[in-house]
Amino acid sequence: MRAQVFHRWIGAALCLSLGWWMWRGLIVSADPSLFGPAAYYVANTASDTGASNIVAAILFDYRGFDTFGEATVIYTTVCGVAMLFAKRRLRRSSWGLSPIVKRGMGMMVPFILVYASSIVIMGHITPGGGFQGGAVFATVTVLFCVIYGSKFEASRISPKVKEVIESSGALLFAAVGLWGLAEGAGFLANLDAGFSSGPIGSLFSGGAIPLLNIAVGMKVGAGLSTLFYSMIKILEDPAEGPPPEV
Amino acid sequence: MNPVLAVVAPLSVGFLVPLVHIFKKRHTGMSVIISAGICSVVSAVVALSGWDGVAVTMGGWTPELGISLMVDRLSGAFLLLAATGFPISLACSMESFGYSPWRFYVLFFLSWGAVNGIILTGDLFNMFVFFEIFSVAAYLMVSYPPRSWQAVEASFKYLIFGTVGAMFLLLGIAYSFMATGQLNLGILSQMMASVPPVTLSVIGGCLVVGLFVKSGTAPTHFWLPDAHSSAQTSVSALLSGVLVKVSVYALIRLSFLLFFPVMREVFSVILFLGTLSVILGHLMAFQQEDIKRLLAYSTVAQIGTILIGVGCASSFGVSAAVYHCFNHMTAKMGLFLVAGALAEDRASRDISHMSGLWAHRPLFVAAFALFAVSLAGIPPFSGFMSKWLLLLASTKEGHIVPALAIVAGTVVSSAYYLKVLRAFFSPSETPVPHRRPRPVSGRLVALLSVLCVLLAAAPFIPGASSVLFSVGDSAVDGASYRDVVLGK
Repeated sequence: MRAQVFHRWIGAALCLSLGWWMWRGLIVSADPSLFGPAAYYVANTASDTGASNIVAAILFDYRGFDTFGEATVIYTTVCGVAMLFAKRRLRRSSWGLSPIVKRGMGMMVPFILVYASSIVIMGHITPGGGFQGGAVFATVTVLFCVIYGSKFEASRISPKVKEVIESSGALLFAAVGLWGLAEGAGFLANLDAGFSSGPIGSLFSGGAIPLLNIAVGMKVGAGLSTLFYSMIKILEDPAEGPPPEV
Repeated sequence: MNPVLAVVAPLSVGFLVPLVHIFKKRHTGMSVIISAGICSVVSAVVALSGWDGVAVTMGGWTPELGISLMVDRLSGAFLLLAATGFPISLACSMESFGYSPWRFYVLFFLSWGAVNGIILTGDLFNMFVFFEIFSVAAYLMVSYPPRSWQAVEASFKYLIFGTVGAMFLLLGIAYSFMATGQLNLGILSQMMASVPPVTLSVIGGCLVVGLFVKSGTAPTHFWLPDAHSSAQTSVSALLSGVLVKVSVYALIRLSFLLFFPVMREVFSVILFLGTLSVILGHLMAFQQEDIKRLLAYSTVAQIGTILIGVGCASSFGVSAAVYHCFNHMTAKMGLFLVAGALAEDRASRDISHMSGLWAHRPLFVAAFALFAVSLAGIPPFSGFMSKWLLLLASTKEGHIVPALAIVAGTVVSSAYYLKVLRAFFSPSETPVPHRRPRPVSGRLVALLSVLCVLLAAAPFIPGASSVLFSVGDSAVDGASYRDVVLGK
């Protein structure tokens, strides 16, 4: 017991000294103005890329290669979770919630889908984009699983279809990148590769950015949905019987 | 050839495998094999065509705004290492698992793409992103197949340690971005001199600690023996042969570019922890009863040996370290392949049970002996050559204790490899229970033995040795790196 307390104090002292060391290293500039590439991005995004959302322009144009990698992290995780939970004996269940909830959900689904697609498609002109819109798409399938049971979810959107959507999203991203390479403008080039910029603020602007948003939306939406579906199969072991009535 | 292809080709294969599996199930195996060949050739061509320095920036931006990829001799050497190690591991996986676990092959190709990305990138944050892909894929490959709880536990341990390391890396990147506003390595290396020393120490500490955790250096090595020994044979070979070296590459690249002119203390730390890894790794390996754990602890020691070369902070030291990376890859992949095959035949990984194997598979045991003496550092084998160069580099800079540690490690490692070989050669009353033919593993082991012997001759061939020493020059020379990346 005494040794435990002693170890805790040692740990706390180590954490505090580490924190103090990092605190000392902080640089707080008195001048709040941007410098370096950040200042350039803020000044020139509109003319360089045709997108009015600077964050989307940095994510999908200036540093698009990072986003390619980040979406691949999610792809890797989804693939791995599906591999870890690929157990045949766990079957899909059709237990759901009460009819009132099922009906209410049925009315909400179209609106959620419209909302999700608007986030994805307008990622270059308003806050949002493929990652966020994809997550909203995934909530539809998550709600399907919770409210109607995972059997219904799998009958509407089969796991294979999700797999196809996810992989095609990833390939679409790579294809847009390779198109820029083929045009001689470099991997993931936007306006230089012949994508039209369009009037700033309109739906058809920003060159390849909307296309890449759709690709990431496909990857993330299908991926998160597969992730949830793989894990909820573990929770719904038919041998245990239906969950208690609430 | 454009360096980006070496990253995009394996990643695209990873995205294509699920589609091939769904639509053309029969062709999965063949397409995986063919695409592995293509990826390997593409990596090798990128490495050789960029041998004198090639850089491209994504999207046609300037290096300051976009993300640059860059090949020079150091990255070319590690690219060749990956292009050799991945196909060998894939062939071994194909033999032991068949084509059915297609998700495993997806992870395999994604980790290949990420490894190439880490090696090629000239951007600090991009390196972190690829580290994430590579680590997630590695955690999951360790836990394959998810039947054995040891593998899942080791994978979980690896996940926790790897995440801590990644957080340190991210903190270091955040601090350097806060201080300079730049992410391009070429520009950062110029601006490091203007960073206040207090902040510089935080940047150096965080980046180096993160990479130490990822490479399994001594005080943070706990995940490595579990992960490398619980994984399947082909995955163990890949982890020890290639994946650990990638973190070493990142350490060489970042320490020389960012801290070589401004903060030499980083190299003392690398030297100290390298020495500690050599001592601890060899002593721990000596105590192991499990053959794969023994090999895994030996990996800790060998990483320490490589780090001693890096810590010398000289061109000669880095060349010797890179040479040792190649020797360790061939020998350790071979050792894991042989040990995995023999342990499966004996249905036990306990060294005391592994008797009578000389009569059972003489060629495998002979190859094991070759790899073991090479790695232990018996002249005239390849491990001796690189250790000799490391000793020269270390004593030339006046570091006596690390040199002594390498010599003492050689004695200890000869002792533990002799223990294993004695078990292999001793006669056994009980017959070996399994006898599955292993044509692919046999050929891979033969290939690795040939490579092992050829590498020993490298320092004596005039052309090869000058190539070897130019690798170290390109690592140390920050000015030529900047010239290539910034396009002067």
